[in-house]
Amino acid sequence: MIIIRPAYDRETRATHAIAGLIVPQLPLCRDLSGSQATRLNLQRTLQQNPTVTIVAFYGHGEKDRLFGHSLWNLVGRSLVRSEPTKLLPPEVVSRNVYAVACRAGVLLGPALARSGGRFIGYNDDFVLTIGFEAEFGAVVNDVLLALTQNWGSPNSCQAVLADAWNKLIDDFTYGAKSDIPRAFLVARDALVNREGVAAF
Amino acid sequence: MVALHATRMELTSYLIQTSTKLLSHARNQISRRRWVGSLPVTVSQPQSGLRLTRYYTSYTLSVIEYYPVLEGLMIRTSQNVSPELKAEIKQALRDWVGSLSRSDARAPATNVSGKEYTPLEILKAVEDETEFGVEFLSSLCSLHEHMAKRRPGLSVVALIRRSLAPSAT
Repeated sequence: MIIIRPAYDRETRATHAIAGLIVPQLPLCRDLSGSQATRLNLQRTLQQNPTVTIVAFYGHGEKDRLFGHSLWNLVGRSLVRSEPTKLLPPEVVSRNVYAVACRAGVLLGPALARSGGRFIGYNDDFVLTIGFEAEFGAVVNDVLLALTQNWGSPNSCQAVLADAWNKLIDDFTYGAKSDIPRAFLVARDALVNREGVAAF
Repeated sequence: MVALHATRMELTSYLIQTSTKLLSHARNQISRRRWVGSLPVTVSQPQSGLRLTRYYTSYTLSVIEYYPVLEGLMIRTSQNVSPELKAEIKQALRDWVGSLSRSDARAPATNVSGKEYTPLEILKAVEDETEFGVEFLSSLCSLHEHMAKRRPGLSVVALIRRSLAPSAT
């Protein structure tokens, strides 16, 4: 699998660090980290590894795209993008994409599914409670690990990710962490993420 | 899961009776693709025999675009939350922010799609009923429902109050 984790602003530095925790446990063929997270590098890596099925992305997303690394700390450049009749780069066609990013489930997810690939991510904002990055990271990383072992049907994948968020919600509402200050905020943010889960 | 059934005429009638503010909120929610959730929506139009049932997919939203009357469904579901619960949550949020030290109240607490909010900003957004504020309150109501389903008797209001800084409790 390929993992992509740009790091050019506060949010991507956080998701970059979260992804870094799972990297040693993954059967990786390439870690496109920081400034390596560009479309060109992704394209080359996919060309060199045609049998790779899973592409994991941690960073910013929009409805139709995922953003790669930006040299100027501004908006990242499009890394993967869906257009009305095609996917860019074309090498991403038929791959399975796991996106820890906002909104890419709206257009990019269905486009990947139409191309013969699969997608798991979010239809809406991805929310992170500040100070609880480790807890949120554990959810998204554990799910990625599970997907590397068995990327099931869209429904089962959606259930796996939703259940992982539910577990975090439960921990912070009536479980061991419900007494931690801001537990309600963690549970709320996790609920928002759970409601945004999208799988195609 | 909730199943909603209504004729087009019923929904239109319902919409006419609805305030502009709620309608605006519904439009915001629709545009942000949150409200549909796992809600199956069925609309029947007996005269034409048209019957539409869609789930949480992008196609649902295209159906909504052609049938703006569906916005009424959002309003109906949003009204299922009791005003008392919303008022209690707001008060608990005020108490929570009031209990925090000056620095904690001004320190970023949550990051929503790249934008950070401090407890003070969250409270102001809720009080001013900004888009984020309305969503924040609505999500706490959803959390309340989720908690009650998992463990009857649990309350989001009590959970918020558990976050009050010790000197205020």
